[in-house]
This record gives sequence, C-alpha cells and structure tokens, in this order.
Amino acid sequence: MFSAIRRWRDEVGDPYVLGAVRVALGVLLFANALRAARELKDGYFGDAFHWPIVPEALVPSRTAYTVLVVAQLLLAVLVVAGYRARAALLMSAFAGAYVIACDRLEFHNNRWALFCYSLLLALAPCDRAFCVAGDPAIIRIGPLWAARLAQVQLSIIYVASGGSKLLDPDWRGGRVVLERMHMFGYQAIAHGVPQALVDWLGQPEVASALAKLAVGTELFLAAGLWGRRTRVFALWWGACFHLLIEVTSRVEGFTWLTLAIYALFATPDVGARKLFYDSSRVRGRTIARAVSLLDWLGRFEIKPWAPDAVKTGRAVVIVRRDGTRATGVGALAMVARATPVLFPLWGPLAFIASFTKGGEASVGG
Amino acid sequence: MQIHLMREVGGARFAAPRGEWQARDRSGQVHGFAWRDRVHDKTLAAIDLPPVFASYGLDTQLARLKRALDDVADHIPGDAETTRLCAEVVARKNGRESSTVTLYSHPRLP
Repeated sequence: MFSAIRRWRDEVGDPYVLGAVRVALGVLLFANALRAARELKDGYFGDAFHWPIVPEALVPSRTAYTVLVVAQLLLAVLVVAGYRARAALLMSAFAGAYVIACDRLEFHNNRWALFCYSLLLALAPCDRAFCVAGDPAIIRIGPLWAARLAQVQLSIIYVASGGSKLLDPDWRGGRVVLERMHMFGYQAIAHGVPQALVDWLGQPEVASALAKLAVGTELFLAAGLWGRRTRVFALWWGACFHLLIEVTSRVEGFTWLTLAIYALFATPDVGARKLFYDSSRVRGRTIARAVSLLDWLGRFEIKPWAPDAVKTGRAVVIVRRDGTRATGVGALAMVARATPVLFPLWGPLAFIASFTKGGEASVGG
Repeated sequence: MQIHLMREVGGARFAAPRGEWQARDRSGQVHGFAWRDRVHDKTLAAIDLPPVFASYGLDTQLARLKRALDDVADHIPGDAETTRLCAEVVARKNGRESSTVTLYSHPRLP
C-alpha cells in the first residue's frame, strides 16, 4: 500500500500534455474573467443583493473589484502564453476562490472545479511546453503527482455526482429527468431537436432508463478512467456523455473543462507512435499535415517513408507503441484515438476496424 | 419554483406584482420600488414569472430568498409604509403536487 503511494508520489514523465491542459485552463479562466467583466459593466455585485462567506468588510469595493477582474484577465493571458504560467495559475485559483467567497451566489460547480484544477495544475510542471512567451524549460521530464491529484479530483466529482443521484430515489427512478424534459423540452425543440425525439425522451420508461444510464456512467467513469484496459473506452464514453450534456443543458464551461482534464489520463510520453506517410502522394501529405495540426498531445512522430513491402500502396502507416502496424480504417481509428478533436469518432471507427482484417496490416516488430 | 412577492403594511398584506410597488416616505411623498433593482440573481429575480428551475436544490434557493428578503427590506429607506416583505413560493418537486412556502423578511419599521 505504502509502496504504491510512494510510487504514485514519485512518478515522473514527459509533461508535454500538462502544457496543453494549461492552455485549455487558461482559455477557460479567460472566458470566466470576461463573463465577470461583462457582468461588472451591468453593475457591481456589491451594490446589489449578495451573500458573502467572508465578513462584509473583506468584500472589495467597486474599484478594487474592477482591478481584480482586469488582473484575472491578464493572469489568464499569462497562463495561455506560458509566461510565469504556474504563478499565474496559482493566483487565478486564489482570485477565483476569493470572488466566490465574496458572494456565494457566484458559486457554480464548474467555476469552483476550474479554480481547484488551476491550483493543482500550478503545482505540476505545466510550463515546459506550449510556451509562446518566456523560455520553455529544457528539461522534458517532471513529477506528475499534482497532475494525478487533478485526475483524482475528477473521479471525486464523478463519485459525488453519481453517488448523490444513486441515493436520491427521484433521480434513480427517472422523475428528475422526466421533469426536466417537461420543463426544458421546448428549448431543445427550439434548438432543432425533433419534436418526436423530445416526446419519446419524455416517456416515464425512457426517462427512467436514461437516469440509470447517467448514474451508471458517472460511477463507471470514476473508476474506469484509471484502469489500463478500460481507460480508452471510459474516455470515449465520457467524452460522448459530456458532449451530449453540452448540447442539452447549460453548464457554462464544464464540458470543456472536463474534456481538458481527460488529457491528463494520456500516457505521459511524446511521439511514442509513429505515422509514416508517402510523401509522393497528395493524400499521404494531406493526412500527415492534418494529423500534425491536430496532434495537440504530441502522440505521433510523423515521418515520410521510403516505401517497402508492407507500406507500398498505402498513403499512411501507423506504428503503434508495441510496434504493430495499422493501415486503412485501423490507422484512422488510431489517429482518432490519439487526437482530441477526432476522439469522438474513435468508437465507431474502432468498431468498424474490428471487422476489417484487410485494412489492418498487423506486422510485429 | 415560482415566486410571488408581497408586502405587509400594518397587519394587511398587499401583492407587489412583478416585484414592483409604490409607497410613501416619511414626508408623504410617493416613490416606486422594484425588487429587481436590488436582486439581480436570475432565479431570485423571477417574480410572477413562469416556474424556474431551483439550481442547487429548493432548500438552497429558499435560504437565498430569505436572505434577499432581509436585504431588500434593509435597502428601501424611502418606504415608510412596508413593515415586512413576504414571498410566497409555489414549489413543485420533481413533478409531484405543488406546495406553498411563505418566507418573511425581518420586521423593518418600529
């Protein structure tokens, strides 16, 4: 037990992905500060009904709050740019928590989660990649314990959310889902969801099944994200789950925040997969360029090849971590699996690839 | 939940449609007052509007509403008539029969 904790504490790896997550958090912090600035334009919260957690004397004046919001915007820019990024993340976390403490009406789960993740990421070497300002560190290896704590936080959120729904008879029985369908179904229709689908989802049996699926999903994700065998499916299922929530509910930036944190579950290495392309073919060059643009987590080493027996006739061949090769739909599935934007396509592509032996040239070595 | 605002003047209770009312100050001059001038939160500001979803639970929103009633009662110095503000909340939990909860601000005039 203690040795496992020690191993966990002492784990090191390439912090490249942490840089990508830092940029995503920076964008979300900027969006949050921008929202606060817009709200400030309409009126200072201290001039209206507010309910501070801290003593009223510690609530900032209008001027001090304006300075704080501008500072939050600047800190978010520093986080994105990678200049003094860890200090900026830390200060963003404290500034955000302070604002919530000044008015509990400002509390939203997604905002609190954003500040917690910012605090944890500030403790990780997230400033060694994706730096457009300042000098990125030369050392490309770093401790990962703080990133792992951010992953634990995500699991805690799933356990809390799924667990509370499981313990609530109205939730697990589908009453809550049914009521939401009745209250907000018209909004979905206004957004283009077919009336027939909304009506179908509004049936008690369907709502009950959806509720159980949602509870099961959250509890599964809490554990499934950690298992080597279940991780990729859990990430894909979770991504689909959150994207569905995004189009059916208002959750501010929670979807993008959670999907950004999902990147921390990627194995901490860079270029462990190889993508060879035929530079004499337009298709090969196009795919290679597209993958290099979308490979935000640095999963691929992309190289042109001198065609050999296996690669002849192929625009692209991917060599997996274990040395096996994938072509055709299998290669597409591999690309989708490793690129955040295409990741939702991984499930169907992998499913199709499992039926196509010809498209999956597996050659050991 | 659906909120209806009322005010008590002496022992009588009067509705404040859409959270608006008129009252005299100590010199007898009439002033207009609006709940939303002080309460900007979307859920709490929805007076006499169609039911709104009680984010973070009904208990949370009722606690906030009680606090808002006290806050507004403390910030209408030009109203020398209203002795207490009152909110009737029609709450409907997950499709069940609705129930009504009445909340009061603290008394505001001697």
